[in-house]
Amino acid sequence: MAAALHFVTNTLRMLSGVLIWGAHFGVVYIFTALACARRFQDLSWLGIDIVSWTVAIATVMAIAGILVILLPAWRNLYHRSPQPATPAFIDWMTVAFGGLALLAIVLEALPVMLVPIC
Amino acid sequence: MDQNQDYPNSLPRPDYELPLLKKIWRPPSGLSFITVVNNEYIGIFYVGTAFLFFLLAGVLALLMRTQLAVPENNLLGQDLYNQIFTMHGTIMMFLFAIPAVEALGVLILPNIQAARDLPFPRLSAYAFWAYFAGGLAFFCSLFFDLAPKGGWFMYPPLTSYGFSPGDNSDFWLLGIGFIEITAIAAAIEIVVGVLLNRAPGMSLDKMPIYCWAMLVFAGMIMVAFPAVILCTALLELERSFEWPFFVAEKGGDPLLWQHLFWFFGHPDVYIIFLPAAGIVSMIIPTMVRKHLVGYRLVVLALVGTGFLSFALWVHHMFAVGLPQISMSYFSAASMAVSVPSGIQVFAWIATIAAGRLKLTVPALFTLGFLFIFVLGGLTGVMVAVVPFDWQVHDTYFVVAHLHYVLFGGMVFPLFAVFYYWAPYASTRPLSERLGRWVCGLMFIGFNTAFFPMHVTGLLGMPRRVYTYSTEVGWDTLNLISTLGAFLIGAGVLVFLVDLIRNFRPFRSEKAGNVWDAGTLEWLPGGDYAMRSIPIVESREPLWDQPNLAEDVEAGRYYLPGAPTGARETIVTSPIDARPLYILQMPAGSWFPVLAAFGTAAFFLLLTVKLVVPALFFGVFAVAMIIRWVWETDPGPSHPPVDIGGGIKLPVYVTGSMSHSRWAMVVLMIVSASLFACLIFSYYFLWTVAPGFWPKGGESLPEVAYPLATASLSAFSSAAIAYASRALKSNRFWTVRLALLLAVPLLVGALVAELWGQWQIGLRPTDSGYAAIVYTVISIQGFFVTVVVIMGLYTFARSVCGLINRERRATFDNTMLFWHYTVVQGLIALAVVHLSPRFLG
Repeated sequence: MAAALHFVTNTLRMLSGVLIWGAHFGVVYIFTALACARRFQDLSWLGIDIVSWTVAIATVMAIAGILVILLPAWRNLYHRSPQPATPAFIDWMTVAFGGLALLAIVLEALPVMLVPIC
Repeated sequence: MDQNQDYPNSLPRPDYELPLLKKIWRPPSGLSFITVVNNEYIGIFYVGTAFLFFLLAGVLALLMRTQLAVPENNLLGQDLYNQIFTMHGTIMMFLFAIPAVEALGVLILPNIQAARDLPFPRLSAYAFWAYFAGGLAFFCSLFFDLAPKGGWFMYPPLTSYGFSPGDNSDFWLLGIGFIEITAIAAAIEIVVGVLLNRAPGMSLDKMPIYCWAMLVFAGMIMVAFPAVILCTALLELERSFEWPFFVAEKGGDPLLWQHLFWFFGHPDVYIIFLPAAGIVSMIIPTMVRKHLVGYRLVVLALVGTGFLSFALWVHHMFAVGLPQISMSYFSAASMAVSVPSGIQVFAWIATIAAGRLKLTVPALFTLGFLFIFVLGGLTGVMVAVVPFDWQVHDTYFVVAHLHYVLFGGMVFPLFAVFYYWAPYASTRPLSERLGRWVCGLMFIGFNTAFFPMHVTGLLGMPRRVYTYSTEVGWDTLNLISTLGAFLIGAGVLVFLVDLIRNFRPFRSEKAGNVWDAGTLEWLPGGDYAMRSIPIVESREPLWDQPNLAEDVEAGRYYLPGAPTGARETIVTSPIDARPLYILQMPAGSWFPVLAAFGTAAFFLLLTVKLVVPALFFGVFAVAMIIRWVWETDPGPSHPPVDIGGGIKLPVYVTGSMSHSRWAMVVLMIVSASLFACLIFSYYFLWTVAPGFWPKGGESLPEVAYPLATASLSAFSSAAIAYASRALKSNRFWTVRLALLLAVPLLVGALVAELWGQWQIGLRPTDSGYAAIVYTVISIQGFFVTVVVIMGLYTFARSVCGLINRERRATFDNTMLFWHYTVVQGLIALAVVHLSPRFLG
């Protein structure tokens, strides 16, 4: 039981960056598709359309979520206790997947500032 | 100090130990040889069959290139050409590339992890024989003018009943059914094998890169394959029963097919490529005699690519009129995925730079791979740019790109592996001299054939045309491509000569570690894999642990014999590889083989509309599977076993570390992915054709029906949970009665939902909405059927006295899948009944 739980929690933590990236991608893609199919893409607030707002909010939340998980793992890597709760490899991978996910999220959010919506 | 004290087991070993080990793992002889399940045998059958399909599809490629060598050629004719290009693509993707990498996993993974076999050897045998029988029968459709002709991605409406009457498209749709089964079986085998069957000490950070690659490969199959399973099912339902999923005038949409197919199809490129990349990460360090540079970064790249590749599917659909911003998301994701791919390429280059590369044949193929794959990757970035993609869409530029990626990214590493791992399986290595010819001919031939196609495409030649006019100016380039194709063929021919001359598998003596490699597949051994299971202290133990091979062979490490008197291996914890228990493994049996032939016959007979014989073989296959698994839950039949080093391990466990529980979890993830694709399809059709949806709850069954379905489902789950509690105190008749009660409750739930939709007059042929609602019910019906069979099977085992509070793995797995099915059904119910009320 302990081994299975240890595996599940460590795997989820290690992959949290890319899992958050997947959720972010799903949200922005589905919301954009709905906005264009149901023609509510022109709704706006403060002169900014609803799709851009959604992408911006989703992106900020995703980045914040990744940082919440990434920073403690980063700290663990450089200040390891004598008996760390997680192997160094898991901490390193948590940071690395978080970094890759941050890059992908920013890259995928950028077009909203450059490309017409529908 | 006694040298024996440094090892788990002392020498000398008892005289009976090695002969017993050999006897237990010896494959059956005579006709029964085909029931063999040892991974080395099944693995070689598997690789050989995949290579046979490579040859067959290669011959089809040569026929196509001969047809296109000169303009206005009528060697093949349009209809036959269509069948040939469809079969070429389908066979290369479904019958060669995916099975080939699965096959290598079956062949190599246990040994590279120092396990005696993969955890479910009969499952591997079943998957192989279903693939072998079904694949050959599918190929033979070409000889009867029955081969599919809609291209390997089979877009409707071209492939639906209106434009493709006859059985040709059905052969594609049902004919790859067994490939889907094979892939799922491989995913289960590989995930559980990699996570639970590693040598003690082989923690995640010491796992060979190839194991990481195969783990990602299996994970991607779990998520991607259900999409193609669903879309093939939908198209077959449309073709056979006119359920209009893809008919626009009835509220369907052909783009649904494209979304589902490419949600599988693009990750599929990486499903094929990542294991090949893993192989390259094994070969290069060996050939330069240096550890891989950037091991952690390469792991990051493999797993990262696995994830990012699921955000690329729309880049096959840039020309279908999607919102610009949506295409930009996918374009950006296509750029992002080049980052992890680039990491791997630089890690390989850095490793080569860190040592001195021995230019052996595997190294030459690896260099060829690097050159070709990088070019394919660069053109991939080009077609990820939307305006450029619009210019070259459906032209030969794309043909060139995909072959650079797939042939470079998979076929070259595969040939590298043939030369690299041949001494692992054969008494003789393959010839270095002939190998250089093979590599040279294939490399020159490949670039001669496919590089000009970039230009042919830019000049406007579309894919899949069977001929072209003399005036368009494509003749010289096509002739050059044809000459290149035949050069590749010549290379493959030389390889066959090499194989015939030198490859001698299935013998006790092996050529062995001719490359001085550092990983464990090169340990000496026999049918039992290795004499004892070592403690691993580094990623290349044979380099870093002196005398390891001799000590393993002498029996100094764990489990040097067969203490339970049967096949067994050690199960270790998934992160740090601590020994947990002894996994008792089944030997060969006729039942998986018969089940496999039954499965293949079921799909093929269904294809030609012989429904009754198909059903007969379907039932036969299920019966054989039940008979096979009957023996596979042995219970605590043996006291704990001393494996050495003072470690005593149980021989049977239940609960969260049971390997069968892990397999069930993998199956549940596959099921959840299928269900997610189904729900996506539901909402996709709602998005594109809301006019066909009931408005605000009109034309929906009364609330009593979904409430009855939900209640009955929940009660059935409660009955199973109650049975579980009763089993803890060995109240056997309570367990049996609860199982028997749960079955009609769950079936009743399904019937209530079906009747609710039927009695309001909704028919699946009415509209896309109606079709998807009945599909949700049908798929839930499939799951209910499966768990009912599992429930009755568990009941039968209980009646036979094979289930009690200690021996409850079968019951636990049934319970887990039962609860999963109920939860899935409740979600489906909410979607089908609440969405039209709130969204309509």
